[in-house]
Amino acid sequence: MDEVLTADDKKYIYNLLADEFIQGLGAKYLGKYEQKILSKKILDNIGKSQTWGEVINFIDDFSKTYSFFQPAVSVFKAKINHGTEAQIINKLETYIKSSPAVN
Amino acid sequence: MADVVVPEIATSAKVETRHAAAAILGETRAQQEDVLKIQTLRQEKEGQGMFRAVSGREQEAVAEPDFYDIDRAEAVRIRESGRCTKDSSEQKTINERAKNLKINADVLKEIYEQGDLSPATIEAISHVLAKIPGFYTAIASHFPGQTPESVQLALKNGTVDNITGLREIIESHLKSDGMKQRLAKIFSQVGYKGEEIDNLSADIETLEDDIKQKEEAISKEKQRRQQAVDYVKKNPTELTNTGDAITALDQTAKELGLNINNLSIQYIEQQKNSIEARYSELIKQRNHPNYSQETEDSLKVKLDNYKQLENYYKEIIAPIKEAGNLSKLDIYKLSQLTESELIVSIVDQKQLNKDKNTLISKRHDRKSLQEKYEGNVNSTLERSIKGYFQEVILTEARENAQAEARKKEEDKTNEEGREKKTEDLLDNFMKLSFFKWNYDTKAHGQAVDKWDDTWIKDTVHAIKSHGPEGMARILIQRLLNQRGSLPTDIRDNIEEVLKKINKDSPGDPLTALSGESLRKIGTKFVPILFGAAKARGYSLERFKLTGPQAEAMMANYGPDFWDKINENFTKFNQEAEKVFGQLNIAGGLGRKIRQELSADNIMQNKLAFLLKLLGILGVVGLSTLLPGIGPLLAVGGLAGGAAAIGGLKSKS
Repeated sequence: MDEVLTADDKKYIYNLLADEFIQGLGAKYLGKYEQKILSKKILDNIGKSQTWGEVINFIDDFSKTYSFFQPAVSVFKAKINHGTEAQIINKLETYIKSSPAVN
Repeated sequence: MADVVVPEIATSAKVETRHAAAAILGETRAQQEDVLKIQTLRQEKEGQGMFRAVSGREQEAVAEPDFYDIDRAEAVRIRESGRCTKDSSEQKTINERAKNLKINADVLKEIYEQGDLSPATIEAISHVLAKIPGFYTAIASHFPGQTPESVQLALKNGTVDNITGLREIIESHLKSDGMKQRLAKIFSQVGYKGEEIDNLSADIETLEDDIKQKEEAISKEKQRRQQAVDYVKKNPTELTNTGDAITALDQTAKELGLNINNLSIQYIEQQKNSIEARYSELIKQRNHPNYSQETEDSLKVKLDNYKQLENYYKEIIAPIKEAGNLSKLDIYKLSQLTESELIVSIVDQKQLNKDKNTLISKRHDRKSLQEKYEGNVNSTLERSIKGYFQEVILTEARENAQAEARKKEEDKTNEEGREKKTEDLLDNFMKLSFFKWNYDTKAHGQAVDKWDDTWIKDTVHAIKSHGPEGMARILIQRLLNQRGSLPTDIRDNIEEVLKKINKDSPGDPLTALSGESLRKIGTKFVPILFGAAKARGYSLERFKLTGPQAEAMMANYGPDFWDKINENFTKFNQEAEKVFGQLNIAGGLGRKIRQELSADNIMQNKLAFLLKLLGILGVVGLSTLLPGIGPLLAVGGLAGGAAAIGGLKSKS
């Protein structure tokens, strides 16, 4: 299910990518110009993205060079699959409840 | 971190292309300030705003300097002020070079003054950079999908914009402090003679204009003369009469010492009347002793000539003039002039030749200066950029490599230290977090309420969905969550250790630990958790696992996992036995224990409390965390055994 992005979605995407970017800065050496280029690419690509699929394609490709964006890919993929995920969680909860308790 | 051992500088660190790339890109090590700045941006402007600020778009939105336009304007200005107009290929080349030179000089000044770079400069500099394999190889390593050859080609062809970000790198490279100093040096080394060149150009311009005007005038007159000659040839009869009249007039004028070109009818009449009056007077005096027949004859000839001149003028010239047909006279006169007579009538030929020689000399001087400067700039620039790369970039690359090696060593040392401290923390306090703690109003302090069996059971089950790393996170997080409920002294000790694990964020030791460390910690402490669960009466026989889960546990904790649990279970019981005699550890702590573990007692007799507590929980090695009481702890188990504490009853 590839939903069309809303303004809130984009805000969420930018915020998450910003957090990953900051994490990346702490772990990897990024020069000022590299930061600038990265930021421009993100603004350009997210700006023109219409769907979650486009966002994921871009970040997936991007994270091959900048691995610190990898968690964002998982999160975005989860966003797409949130319906399926809810079902899985329900099943898990049922399973956990059926596990043996302390005597 | 004060307790971190910093290893010696790794001088043998291997310098790789990526290190050079980092140096070219102006990357520096661990720019904490930058990170903090960006974090602040993130908080203030949210994600998109942060990216806009970092990318520079925010500033661009306010006032984006468009150096393309600036350059175009500059190009137009130079083109329009082109000083040499002579249409020859050589002069064109000189003009072109003068123009380029002007651009180069301006651009170099721009770089030096940290201005914006024009595409022409980027192109010129790129050509030089294309000759430095270290540069384009380093750049290529930074851009996914690019090869050294493709980057070199882009630099060579001036198509830097084909590789996103390359222009910025070149600009940053040129505008770096090191490069700026080098460019300043270029200016002083090449001895830029801009003013001298400009002055020469101004002189050349003046001379060229002057010569041009004169030559144009000559050319125009030559053209007119040629037209006149052609006209005379085509219309011989028409002009013959005029020509004969002019010839006669001229001859008569010459006899009178006059110039035909300056004659006017008024002058002729005035002269004629004057001579006529003198002649009449002379005739009257023929009998006078001073009379001269010779004078009379001379006056008579003169008078006749003037009369003839007057007649010629009135009969031939005046009608031509009145008819407005003087052009025929001009045409005739022009057709009779030789070329040199014609030029002399317009310009001073000697001065013109002199000016031409001066112009050639000044052009030569300017050309020499330009070539010298241009050559100096080009060779010095190339040498300088190459030198900069060798001395600065490669040095920085070496430093980057060394710093990376050093950081790796530091990280390893720090990580080992953090891992050990976390293990100590869990060794000493993990079991305290298995309790529920409450405020005891009678004891006026935090006291143990009971074992948190629900949490223990849930955590045991968490192993089905978490690996050792995840389990370590759960155990550490539990201790962090519980520390606020623990007695003050214990809490303070925990806080102190946390500060050593993560100086910047003591409340979050997890971020300071690597996945590998967490995995080791989980492997060590999960069996202890299971041992405690078994001691609390949890039947591990009922702990069901699926095939894959069992395989995962085997892989994560080893085939002796269950043996480890039993060891911990036995140890747990033995220690409790030692401390409490026949007391049953599974029955919960009674009021007396709570009193013993209360804050009051802790304050009154910290040592006794710790000994008891250690006895209960099987704690060892607390001396590392509570300096000064280490030697006494060795007897903790025995002393604890003497303590008569509440009745515990085993359920197992």
